Amino acid sequence: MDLRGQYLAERVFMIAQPLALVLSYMAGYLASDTRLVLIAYAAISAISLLVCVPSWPMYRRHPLQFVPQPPSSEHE
Amino acid sequence: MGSMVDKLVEYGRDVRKSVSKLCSRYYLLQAIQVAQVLATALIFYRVCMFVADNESPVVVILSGSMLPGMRRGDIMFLWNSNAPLRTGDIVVYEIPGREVPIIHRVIRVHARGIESEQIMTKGDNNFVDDAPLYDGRDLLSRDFLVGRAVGSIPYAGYLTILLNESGVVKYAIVGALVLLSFFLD
Amino acid sequence: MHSVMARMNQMSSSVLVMGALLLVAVAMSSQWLAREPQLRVAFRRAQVVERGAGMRHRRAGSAQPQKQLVVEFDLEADFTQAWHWNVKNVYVSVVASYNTTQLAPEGAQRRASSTVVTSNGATSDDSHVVVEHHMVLWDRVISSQDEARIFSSDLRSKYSPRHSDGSMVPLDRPMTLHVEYMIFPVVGAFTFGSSALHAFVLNAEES
Repeated sequence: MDLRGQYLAERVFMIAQPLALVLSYMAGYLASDTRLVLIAYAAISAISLLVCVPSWPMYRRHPLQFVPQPPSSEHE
Repeated sequence: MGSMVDKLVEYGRDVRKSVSKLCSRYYLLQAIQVAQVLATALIFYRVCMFVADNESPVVVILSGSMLPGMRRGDIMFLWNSNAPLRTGDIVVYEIPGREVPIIHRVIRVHARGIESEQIMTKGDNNFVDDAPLYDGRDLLSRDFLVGRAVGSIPYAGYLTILLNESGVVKYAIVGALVLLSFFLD
Repeated sequence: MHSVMARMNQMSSSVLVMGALLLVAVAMSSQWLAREPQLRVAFRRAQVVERGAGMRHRRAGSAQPQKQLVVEFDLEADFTQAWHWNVKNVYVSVVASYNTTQLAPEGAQRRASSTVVTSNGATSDDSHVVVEHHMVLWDRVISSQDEARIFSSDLRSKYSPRHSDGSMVPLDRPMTLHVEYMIFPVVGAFTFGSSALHAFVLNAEES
């Protein structure tokens, strides 16, 4: 993952987390079911981990440009 | 013959390199960090023990004698205080000679002030009270109590039960952690 | 966040910590959702019966039929309003309380004189000690809101009140009956409550 991709992944996760907390709590509260809270939170967290952790191609759109190596003899 | 000696010398050098790598600062630092985490956990646990004033402030339910309220795998928080024991309290007690502490509900209290309270307990799911479990005593006094249950979290202790009762899970988890530690650096 | 492992590490530990916070939030909801239940108990009558089988005290000998005290009472307990998402079950019990006095042991009289006040306010002096007794006569675990209403007269005690040495409860005592309950939440701390005391005098009829 390149630098822009890392930033993007972290932002997506930072937004998804409080959203997961609030949505799952409200869903359970309205349905009067505590197990729904945990199931919803687990599901939303699993999805957000799946989106943010692996190196998907969308995170690799701005690869670092390295300065080309000058042709020189090997030192070792 | 010379090449065999050369090979042996090179093998010796490789062994010394990997041993010195193990003792290198990097791995020592890793070991110290792991020890730090463990020490912090131990300190936290000890502080909990001090604040809750008993030996095991968190216990895992192992039997079904308190169904439907408390299932196997639930964890209970125990607290000890000088408040008088009341009927309906859930308490954990230990009989010397029996290795497993029992968590049941108080159904009788005979109290002469707080210093000499004597109780009888019974599991909600049991038909008879706990008199046969008391090993000859009529009633329990406060000395046998580990603590009084004040709260619970469901299912949180199932991992502990699995670890204790199934050897396969234990080895699998330890093996997975070791493998992970190789991959993490 | 530079590698898959680093992200996996940080993000999953963050998920776990936030999950714990979620449990705390569920537990705290009991504070504002809890309502008082309606409770009332009244004594009807008591009988001493002989029972051949059933819950006998082990020590009192198994061959002889036991004299047991059966208490009948009315109970109204309505938990339907008190039920919310964080209630797993409710333990309801009918408790009988009474006092007896015992002679204080010799050694106690030589201590500096002090009056001991027990938890229901009875005092004892140096020569006599007041012993409080609380016994659960009847209990039930309510597991769902549908069965949260108990409205019965003529409920009989499940557990015969007796002392540990097998002796019967003194039969001519003023006693009190009250209803106690304990709410067992899905997550969080247990909450207790009780009803007003109903005083009566136990005049048990022999049968």
